[in-house]
Amino acid sequence: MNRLTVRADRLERLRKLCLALPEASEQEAWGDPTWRVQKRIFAMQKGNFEGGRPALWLKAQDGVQAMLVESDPELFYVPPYVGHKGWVGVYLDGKSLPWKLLGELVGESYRLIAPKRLGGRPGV
Amino acid sequence: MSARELPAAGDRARVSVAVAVPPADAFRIFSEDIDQWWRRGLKYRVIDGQRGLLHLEPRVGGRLFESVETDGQTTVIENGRVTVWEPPLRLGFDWRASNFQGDESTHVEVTFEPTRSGTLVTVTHSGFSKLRPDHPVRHGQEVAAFVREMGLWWGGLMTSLREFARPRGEP
Repeated sequence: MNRLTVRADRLERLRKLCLALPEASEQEAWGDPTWRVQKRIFAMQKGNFEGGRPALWLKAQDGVQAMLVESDPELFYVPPYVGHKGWVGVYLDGKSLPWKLLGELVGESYRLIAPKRLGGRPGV
Repeated sequence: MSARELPAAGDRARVSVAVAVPPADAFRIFSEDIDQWWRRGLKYRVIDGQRGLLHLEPRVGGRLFESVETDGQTTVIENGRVTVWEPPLRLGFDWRASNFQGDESTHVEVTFEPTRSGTLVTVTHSGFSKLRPDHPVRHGQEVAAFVREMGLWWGGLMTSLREFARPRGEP
């Protein structure tokens, strides 16, 4: 596991959000915490390297990535590797975090990844 | 639209989606087929269930409304009026939630830009800052947070539009 840059209490709260979803599990990948449903990742906690900023990466619905980055570029960004697939990055090092919004975004990402049986809309 | 007419960034939710059909088809699907791709359920419609219909009358001044037939009676709920009807590139309508009063209104502008692979459909929903801060539609949120909520809402709708707007095979 990489040395985590995210505050322990915030990671714990994120973990609760993600693991509350049906059949969600946590697994380490590339040294970072990731949350999955049936092996498919729906959330990743990134930025765990020297000088890195802690962040959460999530899949978002069409147009939502750009909408969020426009609404608050200090909080949201286009992440590398998966940004072109509509994923959005959320910095986790701000003074306070919009937990209600994060909860909604985590839920939407889960529904975009999870199979229909678990309430997902895969491929949408 | 000139830059001066653009609403301030903080007051608008803007969401774009790339669909795989040309602008004329995208415009027709957005308007004529609106009931088929617009999501169902109370998050997206006033009338719950499978029997409600959503209509957009194709002209300036036309209504955006939901209807449902129960026991031979038709109930109609108007959500807004068309303000711009310029197929295949621009569509605009006023948007009033069910709890809006008097002259309270927001505005939705939809543009259809041709791309190499189809059309970029962009929805810009603005006018939220004119609603009073304690308006029930804002659920006690600051304008910025509320605009983001609306952006997520449109993200769901635009995802459905893209799904629906697939090229049809030749007959």
